[in-house]
Amino acid sequence: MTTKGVWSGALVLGLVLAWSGAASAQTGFCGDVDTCKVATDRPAAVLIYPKIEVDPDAGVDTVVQLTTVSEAPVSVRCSYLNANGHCSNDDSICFADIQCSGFARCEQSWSETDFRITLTRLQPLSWNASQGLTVLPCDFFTGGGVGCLQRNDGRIPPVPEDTFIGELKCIEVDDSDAPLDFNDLIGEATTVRSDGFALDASKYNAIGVQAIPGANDHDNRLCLGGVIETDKCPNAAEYAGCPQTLLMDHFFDGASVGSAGPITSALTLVPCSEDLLNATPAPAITVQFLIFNEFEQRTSTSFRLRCFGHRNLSDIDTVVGSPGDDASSIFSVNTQGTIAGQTRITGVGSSGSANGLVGFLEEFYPCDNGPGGFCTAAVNLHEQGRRALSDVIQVP
Amino acid sequence: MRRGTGWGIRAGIGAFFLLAGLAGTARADVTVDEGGTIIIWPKVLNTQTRDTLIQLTNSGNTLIHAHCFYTDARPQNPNQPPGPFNPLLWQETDFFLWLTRQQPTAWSVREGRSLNPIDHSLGFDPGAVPGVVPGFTGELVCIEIDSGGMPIGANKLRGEATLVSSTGDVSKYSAVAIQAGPSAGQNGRTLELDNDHYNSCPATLIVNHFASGAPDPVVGEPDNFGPCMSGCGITTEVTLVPCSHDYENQQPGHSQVSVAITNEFEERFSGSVAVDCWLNASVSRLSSATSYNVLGTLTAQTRLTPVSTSGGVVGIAEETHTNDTGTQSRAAWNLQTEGSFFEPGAGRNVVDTIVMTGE
Repeated sequence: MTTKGVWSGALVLGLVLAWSGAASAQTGFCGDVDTCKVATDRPAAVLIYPKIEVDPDAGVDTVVQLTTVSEAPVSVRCSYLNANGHCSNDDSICFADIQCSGFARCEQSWSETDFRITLTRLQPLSWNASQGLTVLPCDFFTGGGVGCLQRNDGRIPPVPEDTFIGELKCIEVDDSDAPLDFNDLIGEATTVRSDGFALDASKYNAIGVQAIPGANDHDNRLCLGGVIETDKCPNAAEYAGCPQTLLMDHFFDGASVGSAGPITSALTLVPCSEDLLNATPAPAITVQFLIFNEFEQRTSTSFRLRCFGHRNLSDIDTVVGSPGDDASSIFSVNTQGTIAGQTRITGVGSSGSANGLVGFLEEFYPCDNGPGGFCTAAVNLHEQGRRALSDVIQVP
Repeated sequence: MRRGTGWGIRAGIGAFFLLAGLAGTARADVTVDEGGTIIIWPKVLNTQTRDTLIQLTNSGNTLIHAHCFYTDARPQNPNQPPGPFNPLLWQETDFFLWLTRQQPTAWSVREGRSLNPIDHSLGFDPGAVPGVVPGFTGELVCIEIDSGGMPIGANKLRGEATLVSSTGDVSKYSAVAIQAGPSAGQNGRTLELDNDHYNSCPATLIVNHFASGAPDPVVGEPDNFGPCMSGCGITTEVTLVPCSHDYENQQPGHSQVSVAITNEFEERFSGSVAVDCWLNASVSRLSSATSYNVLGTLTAQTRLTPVSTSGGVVGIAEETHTNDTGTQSRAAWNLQTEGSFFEPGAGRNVVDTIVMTGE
């Protein structure tokens, strides 16, 4: 090899090292279907807040935090999904049949309220779900934003009913509202309960669905995960896929640990597939629960989930809203005989959809200063595995 | 001449494809959503007012062992604030656990959990878990090992911690899991967080928080659900621990962390903080700019970036809501992360290491 050849090779190698340095500086960021994740601790393109709760009569509201990690403006399309139930006889808000008079049924509704905003560089935003945010901080048109170099667009409406339970979903889009394959969003939700002198706060991280760079066809059908090409997702995954299994570490209902307890818990689950275009809930999903106690003993149960599920653990396999039978639940310490449990939660897939799920857990502890005599702690669930089919979010 | 030049260029192009392949494979997976091999609970307390409930679970179908380390990070003189003349103890206490397939376990750090085979009401005891000393403030780290006590890399552990106050108020976070790489366990009891043996800590931690002292928007304006005449400010604490731990030589890790704050008006502020052994500080201590009076907005985004020549950190945050009567309620959450602390291509060449104690 001549000297000229050596220098030529060194030049090429130098360019290569510079490029790989730049590329590997992105290491840790999402690069492909294997490294892009559904996660609660890294920026994503889609954020899911599984439970937004408002109840003015009980002094409950949820403070939503939405932040961008980008130096450029980021546009976001969000949807509140109203999962309030209404009694079939008088349309009053309910969450269980037992709350309706006579023999009326509590029928869960599913309606959406959309809004669009633009966040400025590295901007954190927060709003009360009951209030919304009519003027964003860098909204020049209202005379605000002194010092802002970029401009906020849009406004955030309050939740559609005074008493509300449901989900919030936010998707990063471009100026034409087409979904983008950038991962710039992080978020949290804080539920605050205040009743006279009593006060209780709990917080969870929004669940982020990362976009796979270069995989997005920018149409309004978001394909989450999947390795099998289907009619709905001819290119398979555009975003990370919802996990095959959610892993929930919990205390069995009624357990006491140290000086804390008896502890009860509630689980919130939402499906990954949603049709926001036609405002129709996805077909009901069978959710399977496989529970392990500290003796390695296994028990299982299941229930049907449609659009939104929020249940006390002991109501999963017993009558919802009937505490008298909770001690017989397989989530009860009386049944299991140990304090701690591990529950593996799986949505049963169908021929057309992965039926993935996301969610989080809340625990309730007896508490002197909490409204109703209890205090709440929230924690995100763990996850394991990926699904062969895609979940689909169809946006308007 | 031409042939030699061609060889040089072909060698360079070959290096292109080699490095392109390598650049795409390295990743940093400090995670709170999946199982890992090194599990860190950054905030563990046994004070007069707070206890901590630890949950540890084996997500695999085989028996696994774990070597766990409590680290007491109280000041040497607990009656004085920590400082150069009152350094932190960094006193470690270690113990061994074993978990059967899919076994969850739990204990209070105040009480520990004894190995009592006739105590059928609790389950299979995972081992003799000591209680921590009164006043303990620090962290817990558990590392997957084989039956011979040597670290492995099965990524089957995950955990949570619940901070319980004497009033019953609670807050909860997921333990931080560091996943094993393809070379896990090859250096014995020295665990290198280099994305090859074990994954590196993140390049940046992101705290999305209320401004220090910001009025609670639910207790006070605009909801006014509670008494807030004289103030109902929200405060936020961040707990950071260095990723490097030398238990064998009792040497705590150290990190110098730069702090970058952005408020809702895009205004930026900055600061710096040293993390020696363990840091639990209000965001206002990270930077006075995080106070509500200075920030001028309800919330802020604070980015914590360890200096590349020091060491990486992991951590959690906890906010306290207060009303007029002094009632407090806390909520903890896990921090967001970006990038990899160890990234030679970006000039970050320091490798965090965890040195376990020998037999």
